[in-house]
Amino acid sequence: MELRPPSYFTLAALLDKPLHGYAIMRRVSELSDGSVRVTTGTLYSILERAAGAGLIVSGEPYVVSGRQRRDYSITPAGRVVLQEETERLARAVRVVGAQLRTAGVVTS
Amino acid sequence: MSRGWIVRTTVRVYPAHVRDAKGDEFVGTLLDASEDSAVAFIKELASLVVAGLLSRSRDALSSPVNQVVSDLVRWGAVIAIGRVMVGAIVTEASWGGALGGPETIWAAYIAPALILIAFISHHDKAAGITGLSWCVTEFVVYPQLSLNGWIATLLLPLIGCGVMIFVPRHEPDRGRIAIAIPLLAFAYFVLNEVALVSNPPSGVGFMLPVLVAPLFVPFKPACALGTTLAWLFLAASFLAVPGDHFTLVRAQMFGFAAMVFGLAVFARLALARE
Repeated sequence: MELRPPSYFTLAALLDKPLHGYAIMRRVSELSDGSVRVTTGTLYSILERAAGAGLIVSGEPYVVSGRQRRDYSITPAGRVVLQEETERLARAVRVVGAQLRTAGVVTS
Repeated sequence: MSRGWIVRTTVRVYPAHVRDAKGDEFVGTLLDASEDSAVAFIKELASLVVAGLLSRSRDALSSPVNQVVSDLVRWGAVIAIGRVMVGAIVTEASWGGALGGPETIWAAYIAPALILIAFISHHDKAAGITGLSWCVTEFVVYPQLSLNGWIATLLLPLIGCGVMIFVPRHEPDRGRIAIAIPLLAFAYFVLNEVALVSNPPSGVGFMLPVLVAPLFVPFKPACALGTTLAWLFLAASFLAVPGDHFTLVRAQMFGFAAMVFGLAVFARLALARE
């Protein structure tokens, strides 16, 4: 399963511990050095699809400061998909990096 | 208007089952994410609208093709029959004169009104049977119709009414929007027919149904596509008009109708690939 950057970083954001929606948005931005920012609409579309594919599970809703939240956790299947995607990206970096070195575009 | 109220209102763009399950959570997350910035608030709100429309489209367009087609054909028939009724009323009001014999009064006013009432109140079989009798009467009242005119006027109602009788309706018609759409459509028909009395069909005003239809695809795809189908048959009826008078409007109607159906097919394929 190929993941687009917002989905990839959303799954990666959940590796350490379960997070609620806004915390996932901040973590995605941190992990990607600000290059990927997910909005509320995008985030919940990603979470819905990931939950449908069994990659994450959602907890029970709770209220903090009058605002409802719900924590999401990555499943073992989600970790496998994330691992596979990371290896695919690493392979691509190795192959294209070698090509660039051969072409003299980069030296290291 | 507080931000919370705006977000809660915007969340209504999502289908009811999503709203019930996660609506309050969407509100909380969006408010957290846009706490200090008006620009971020607008951006977040826009993303919620797009995601909500996509979620509705996913629900609406995920039905099997035969269900979507049977629902849009019945909507198309009802819109086409309603347009004929409004046309007769406006013509009568504009030009005056006698209403004609009982068969004309039945075909122009009574049958279409009964069909509309039956359809809106979900009595599809009654609407279909009345519609078929309307088709027969139209054929009797206007025997001089050319084959082209006959196809353009009666083919869609005939198919749609047959579907109403034999195939149950799949599209869930709940909420105010189910009533609002036919009312809006007929308000438009009245204005349009009044304009047509003195001017030939042209311009944005005449094309409005097929321009607005894509906006309704996520909410009522069968209605939106059915309206477009009715417009397609109306364009076909202009093929029978001699001369170049209708060439442009005909091309516009066929073009926009093709665009609406193309968009719906594209959306369905894109959602299926997700």
